Amino acid sequence: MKISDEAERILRRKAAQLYGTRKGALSRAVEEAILHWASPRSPAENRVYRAYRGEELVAEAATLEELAERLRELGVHPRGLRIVREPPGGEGEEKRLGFRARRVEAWG
Amino acid sequence: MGLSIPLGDSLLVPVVLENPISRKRYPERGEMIAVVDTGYTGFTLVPEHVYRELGLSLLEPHRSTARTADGRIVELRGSYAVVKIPGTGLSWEGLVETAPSIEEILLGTRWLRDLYLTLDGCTGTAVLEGCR
Repeated sequence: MKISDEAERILRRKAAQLYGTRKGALSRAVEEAILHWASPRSPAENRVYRAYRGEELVAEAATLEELAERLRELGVHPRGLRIVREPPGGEGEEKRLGFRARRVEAWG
Repeated sequence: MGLSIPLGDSLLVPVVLENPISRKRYPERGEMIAVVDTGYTGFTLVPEHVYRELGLSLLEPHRSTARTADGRIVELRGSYAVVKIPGTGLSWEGLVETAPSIEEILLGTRWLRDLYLTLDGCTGTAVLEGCR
């Protein structure tokens, strides 16, 4: 295996931070890094987007881009579609707004 | 690839918003500055005109309530869209919301869940990187 000097420098520094300078620290760091990279780390990886017209499921896909492509293939116009995500992205949740949104108003 | 940005009084991030369903982008050219706002617990909050220009108002909105800093309850309307940082490959899909009289693009704490953000006060920089 061959890696760049920059990647090696970062790896050695992180290994020293996490496991000190004892024997095996570098191997352990490499193993951790591989497991971290190969496991489903990103929250985006297990998502499903679904497009509904009323109660009817029109299309579903793993990403919004793929859903858009699928809808175009089906010739579906976006007007009135409801796009839902699993797991949800915060729809229906009560949120907080801070000082920067202090001028927010109710819908007229 | 990540993005290194200077730390000032606010954490400002250059972004582009996209709605793949309607093939709309905001702004049409260039980029906008968004503010990281930990007072907002959603993903991204935008002014109404941005929401409309993205074509999100064509879609049936998700409605939710929000409590303001002064204790009022207001309704947010939202739909899924994409936030990108130009030139970095960094991109997030999430619920982009709006309400009347929102004046800035705010990136909330839900947006922060999908990235590594390193604040380095010693060098006066913040570094944004994707989850992997």
